[in-house]
Amino acid sequence: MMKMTMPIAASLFALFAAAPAWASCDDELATLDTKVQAQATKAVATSGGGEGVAAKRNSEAMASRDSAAPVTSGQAGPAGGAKETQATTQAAQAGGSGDRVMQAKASINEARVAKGKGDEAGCMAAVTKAKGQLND
Amino acid sequence: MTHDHSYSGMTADTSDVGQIVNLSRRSLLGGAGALVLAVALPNVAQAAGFGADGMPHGWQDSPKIFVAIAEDGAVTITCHRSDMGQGVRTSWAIIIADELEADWAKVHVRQAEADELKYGNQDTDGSRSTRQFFMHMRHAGAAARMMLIQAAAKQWGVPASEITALNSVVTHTKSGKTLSYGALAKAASDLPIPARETVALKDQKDFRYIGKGKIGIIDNVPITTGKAIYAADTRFEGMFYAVIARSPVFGGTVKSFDAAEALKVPGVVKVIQIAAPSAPVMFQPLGGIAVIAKSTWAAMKGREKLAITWDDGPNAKYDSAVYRAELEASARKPGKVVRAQGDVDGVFAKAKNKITAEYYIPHLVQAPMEPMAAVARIVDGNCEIWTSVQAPQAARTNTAKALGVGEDKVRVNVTLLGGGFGRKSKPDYVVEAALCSKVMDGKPVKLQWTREDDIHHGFYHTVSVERIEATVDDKGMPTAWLHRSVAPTIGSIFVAGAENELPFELGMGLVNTPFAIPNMRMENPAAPAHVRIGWFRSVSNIPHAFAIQSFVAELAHAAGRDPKDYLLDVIGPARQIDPTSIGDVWNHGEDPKLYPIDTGRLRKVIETAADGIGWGRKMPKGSGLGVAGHYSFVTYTAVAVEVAVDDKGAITIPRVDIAIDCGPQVNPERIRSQMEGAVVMGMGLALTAEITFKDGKAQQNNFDGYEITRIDAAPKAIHVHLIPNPDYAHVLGGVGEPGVPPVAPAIINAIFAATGRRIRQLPIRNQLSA
Repeated sequence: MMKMTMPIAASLFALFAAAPAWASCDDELATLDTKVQAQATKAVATSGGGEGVAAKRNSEAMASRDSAAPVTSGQAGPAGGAKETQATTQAAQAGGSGDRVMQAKASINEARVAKGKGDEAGCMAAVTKAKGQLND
Repeated sequence: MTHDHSYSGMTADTSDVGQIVNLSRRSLLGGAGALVLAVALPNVAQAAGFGADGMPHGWQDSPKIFVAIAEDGAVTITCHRSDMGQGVRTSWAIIIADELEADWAKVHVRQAEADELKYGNQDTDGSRSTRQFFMHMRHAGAAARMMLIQAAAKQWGVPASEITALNSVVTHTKSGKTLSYGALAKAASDLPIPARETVALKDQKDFRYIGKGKIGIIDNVPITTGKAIYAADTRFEGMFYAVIARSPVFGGTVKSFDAAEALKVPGVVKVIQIAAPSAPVMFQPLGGIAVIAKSTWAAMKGREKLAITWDDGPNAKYDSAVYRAELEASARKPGKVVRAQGDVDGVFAKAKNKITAEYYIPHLVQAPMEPMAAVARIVDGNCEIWTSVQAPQAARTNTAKALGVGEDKVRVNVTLLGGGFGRKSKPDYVVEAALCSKVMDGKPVKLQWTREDDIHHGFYHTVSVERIEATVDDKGMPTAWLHRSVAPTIGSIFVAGAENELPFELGMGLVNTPFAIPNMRMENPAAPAHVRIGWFRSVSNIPHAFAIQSFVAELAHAAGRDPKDYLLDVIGPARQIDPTSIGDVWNHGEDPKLYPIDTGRLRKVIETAADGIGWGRKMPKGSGLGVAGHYSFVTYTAVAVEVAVDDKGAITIPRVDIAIDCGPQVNPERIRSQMEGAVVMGMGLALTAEITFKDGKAQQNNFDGYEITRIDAAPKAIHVHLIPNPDYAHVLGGVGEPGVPPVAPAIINAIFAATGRRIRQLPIRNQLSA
């Protein structure tokens, strides 16, 4: 029974996660909401609470843009070493320290505004923008 | 109390993660301790964590708190955070000593050297030293107490449950027998460490030191008798002294120089060039010409004689007045959207009543009363440094890199700091000292910054234009809100060319504005940096709070409402907001579930400050009351101010009431002093402080031009209201920085109440008399 259940569950998850072409904008938004919330929480966790470390990690993670690898200068800052590089990589993966998460949330709001006006195309356009901001 | 620079040689033992580690068998602190404990925490590399867990070197880089008990009963607590007046050395000792049941008279504090592998993250920033380590320190003290009791139980052959501890003495309750901690320390150190989950913390009703407010700072006597050691107090036989001529323009370099006349100055022994930094600048020295002499005075006179031709570089035309116009132009155009809810544009399009205002906050410099200084010497390839620094590990890392040696060859000893405010988180001056010592064949060199050096070559607080637009309904309440914040970012020192505020800057009172307004949008247009931008006590909260709290008061006036009542209505009813739900992806690094934004607590501090000052009382002509509240560093603060403005526009501030809810309080007297200091500092940036630039050069030189609040201008009365929050199971908030942001808008709002004139540009200076 277990052997049967797991693949079905996984397939269902994949269906929703992949947001197929026929999904409505509401479906897309629901999926994005979950993803953006998880990314936001991860961004908080990987930011570092101190101003020095947060500034360096935010900067290098944001600069990574379309890459998961953080931009590192080789200069010594408030923190260094392999573990700090790992932490900055995690921050980069959290939407560029949340930079792109903030923008994606705004795009999701834009989609909802369009949806509220009955503008399905506008909604989907904003969803596409949000996905791009999340590198989704 | 003395600074103990002895080095125990202990190293972190990663196999002990998650446990309290008995290090006694490996080494003793300065040979004096028989019982040495360290709290080691799990490894963050395995999973990202919040708070201190997310800081460098992962969990095992979280702070390790050392307790040493000598056979004479002396309890030595190692503090690895820097004390710049906020009293962290005392607060940590209070926590550990309380759980330990130590006799306070026997407590000493040893300042840790830079070693994050051993101690965990040492950055003293983010108003988090006490809030993030409260529980860990309690555990360390409690575990030590349990081991001492167990040692006595073993010696007496009685159950540990029959033994109590108090004032560094354990007592067998049935027989009345006693033993001192000193007598038990050796035996206790031979016992296994209690597992973390078995450590019994005291019931908070039994606290004797925590939250009582009866303990003065542990360094009081040495500070007030001049015996305390600051960086500039460090002396060595045969020591040399150095000052540096740096490019007056950020990014400038030395074209050529002639040291002949400088070398003729009696006492000058060497003149060297220090290389300009490569991009990004981070914490590198700015470069320039160093004059090394037998006295500071000779070095300064020699510097005056240098003939240097500078290439002013890409910022040669930086003019802060022109730049302000550029920021204003940017603020009037759409920028990067960093928070949006509802339909701002839709509401704006239909609005009848729209109100717009722009606010300007200039560059500031931290100007700690003790300018930067560091002493360095190099012996047998090992560099040792004595300095006042907020980031000891960064000082160590940067020095090692500059010298081309491993970090194990650099030791950084931390002295007391005569103020820091964020400037001493950037250890460029430490590296300068080490480079000077290197060219002197390792002889000790004290590198000294003057006040002029500090003001001319700072890591400046950002300059900012904040533009807010809002529409209001028939009752004058906001229906839509657009806030554009334009300011060069701290990120520009870490990534060359960065032009947008970082998430942590946006999370300082911009995107997390907790207002009950259905339609809100925050934007961040780009702004290139032309100077080094650095963090200044409370950082971006300053411009954000100034603009928002001023604008709400403007809306209140437009609505014909009482500004305090109106502010409370804009905040809305008491509720808890998940900060990530409104786009805050920093939250000071804290778990959003543990640290939601609680508008009830924000309302409470505003009401408390207002009640304190007698809000609503009839004021004489030319006098007025103002109020502002702000959430920062997971703490809630509000300020109510009484101002008097005479017919020439001169401002006096007879009274300030400041209320703070920082959760449970460890050291109430230190919280009071931090609030009082924040009021005075906030007054300075509201009334007088400003750094301006012309041709790339800072126009101010010393405290005559960069004016901070002087004693005769300080409020006659500052009333601090600590909101009780007696449940120590609740999370703590920050204290060092949150007092600053609401001060300036409260003053501005009070001036409006007194005069009817709205100030939108800081500092006020002579705007009321113009």
